[in-house]
Amino acid sequence: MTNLFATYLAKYEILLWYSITILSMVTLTILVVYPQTREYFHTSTAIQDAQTRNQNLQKKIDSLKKIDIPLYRSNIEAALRAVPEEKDPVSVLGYLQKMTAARNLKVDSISFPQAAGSDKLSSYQILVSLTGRESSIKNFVDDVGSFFRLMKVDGLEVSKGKSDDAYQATLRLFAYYSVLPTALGDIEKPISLLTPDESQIISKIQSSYISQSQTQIVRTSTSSYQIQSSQTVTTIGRPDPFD
Amino acid sequence: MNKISINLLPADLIIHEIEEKKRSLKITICIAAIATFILVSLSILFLRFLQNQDAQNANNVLNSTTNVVKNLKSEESALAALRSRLDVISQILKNEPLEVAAYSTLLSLTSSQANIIGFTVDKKGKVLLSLESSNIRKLQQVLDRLSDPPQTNSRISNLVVDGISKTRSDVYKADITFSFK
Repeated sequence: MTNLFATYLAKYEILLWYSITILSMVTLTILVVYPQTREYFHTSTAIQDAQTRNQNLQKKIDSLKKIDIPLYRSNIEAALRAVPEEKDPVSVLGYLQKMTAARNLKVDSISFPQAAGSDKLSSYQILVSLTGRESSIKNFVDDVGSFFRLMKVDGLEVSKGKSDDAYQATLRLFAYYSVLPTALGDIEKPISLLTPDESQIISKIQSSYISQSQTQIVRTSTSSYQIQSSQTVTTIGRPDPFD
Repeated sequence: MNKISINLLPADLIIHEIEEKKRSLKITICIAAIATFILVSLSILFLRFLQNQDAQNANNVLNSTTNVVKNLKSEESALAALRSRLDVISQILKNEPLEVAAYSTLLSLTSSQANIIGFTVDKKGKVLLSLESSNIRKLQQVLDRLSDPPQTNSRISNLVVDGISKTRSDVYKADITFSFK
């Protein structure tokens, strides 16, 4: 038996060596070379990806470190005054009364009909009916356009009243509001600081608020109000704009 | 003088020696192939070990950078809040209200020449305008201005005079329709 095995071994020795070699190469290829080479490329990509993400995060950190928190908070306050988080009909009513009083206009009615704006933004409608001089109506319309609380004139009708210089105007305004974002999103989401145009918008709103808040309606007598700025008395207005 | 080589070994033995050498060569080649493959495999494993360390380092750096970003959350929140609000504000300010522009333009074109007694503008910019003046020439001048593109910055088009009438008090009244853009 042993002799028979020895004879076979001698006869097929080389074939056996070939088989062992091929089997070893195939085994090593299947178990080590192929999977590890594949993993090598995967890991290389993963390392590159991690390095890229790290670079992007570093850029984000550099940008975030440039943010002046008190300045930004002040800007957010200004932006929230321009477009608050929710409907503010009471505040808007007060603003409109101040503006009409400043322009010596009589308010016939202010109403808040249920109507949606033409754009996708959240807004509510305000219908204002006024009586006064033509120039006052024009100034009031301009005031609405430049007011720190953003409102958009969506419709305007002007007609001559009974007396010579009295005009009646009906304005359809939209006051906007929008909720603040509650989530920041993905931490790796890139950020961009304010552009010069955006900074300009904020400064415009800030300066508009400052100039309009410095101008106050001061009751000078039982029958009239004066609009006082920090420098000069500008216009005489009505004690009650509905009167 | 020629050298004479004499090989007295039997031919079978020589053939056997040659075959033995061939056999040894084949076995050596096989062993070398296996050894080479083992070496390649070990090299790949060693490379993977080094690469895993690099990957670990890269992940550690990324994690620490992510933590720094998380620590700057208040700055990011402030920026996100401001940017969201500015997007809304930009959309609101994007278009000048047509109504205001139309009214301002008309006031500047009609001033001291005629009185606006009626002004209505719809969202599409269609304007219905009623003017009055005690002087027909002044009314004519206003109409000329309204139909003159350089003076209106080409914002008024399709101007149609619906009617001109004279009231009992000698006041001329004109009803006009036009598109404002």
